[in-house]
Amino acid sequence: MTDIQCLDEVTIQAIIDGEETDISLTKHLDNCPACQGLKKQVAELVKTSDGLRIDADLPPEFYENLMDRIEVRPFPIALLAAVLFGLVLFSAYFLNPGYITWWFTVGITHQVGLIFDIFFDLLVLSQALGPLSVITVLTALVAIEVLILNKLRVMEG
Amino acid sequence: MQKLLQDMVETYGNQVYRLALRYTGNMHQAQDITQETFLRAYKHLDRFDRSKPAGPWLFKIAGNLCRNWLRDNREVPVEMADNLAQSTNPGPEEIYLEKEGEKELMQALNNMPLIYREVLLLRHVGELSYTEIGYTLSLELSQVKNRLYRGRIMLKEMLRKGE
Ligand SMILES: [Zn+2]
Repeated sequence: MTDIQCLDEVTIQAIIDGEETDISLTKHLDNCPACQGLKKQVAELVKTSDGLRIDADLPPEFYENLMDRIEVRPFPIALLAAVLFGLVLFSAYFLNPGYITWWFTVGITHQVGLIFDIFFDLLVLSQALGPLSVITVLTALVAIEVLILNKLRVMEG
Repeated sequence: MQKLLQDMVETYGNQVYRLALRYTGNMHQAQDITQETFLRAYKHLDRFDRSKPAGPWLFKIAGNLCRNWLRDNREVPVEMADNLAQSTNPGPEEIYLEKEGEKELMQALNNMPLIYREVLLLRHVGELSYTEIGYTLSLELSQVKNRLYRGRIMLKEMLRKGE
């Protein structure tokens, strides 16, 4: 019992918390009546503080709501990209209709071009946007494509 | 990235929420703080060292948000806290306070200086080790031990006085 000094409260607390495992200290604590008395007091303190534990859980929809907020973030950038794409397409057509005609006829039919393009748009947009935004932007893109295809049809004959 | 976030929410979501609940005493506020914690974590995921457990890092973010919340809402000097505690009426969202002894516990916590409260909560609600608490609060190990001990004494004293 006299091989080491008696332990202070903070050390006893660390032993109770499982943070101090030095065998010489735990052995002394187990065999010293004075330290045992102190251990009882400290254990009482730890027990009282354990009352701070709480059982409440997050609502089940928490993760879903979190993802909604995360997925909405890239919206302005994706929308800007879609608008720019539309503008470029329109400008190209109005500046030089022949360019678009060429673009659509290089080894690819109009319908295949349309489907391929929509599929690609969907793929890119669905990564960044929520479902509602994807539908809105896609509707606009499809309208643009149909308009262009219609103009081409009229021009070609 | 999203998988990592999902794992973090599954592992630490409830603990972060409970910590915020102990700071704010309000389920709605605690959910907001928890959501903001994970939004910030997601935003700064590149700063997170994946070889370490995410808990202390998340509690660091949550702790800052809770401190801001206290500052903006009801953090008052300790000598004034007695009056405040008397006038605190739990709202309909604070149902969990109905558990026996909960109200006294929250009052005692609110009366306690923040430096002891945060160590106590990280230990007993966040279930962090001493080292993790030290990392979360940027404290030396000896400071963690001393604050935890003083905090525990303070809590017991306050509860005894409240009886
Ligand atoms: Zn001894």
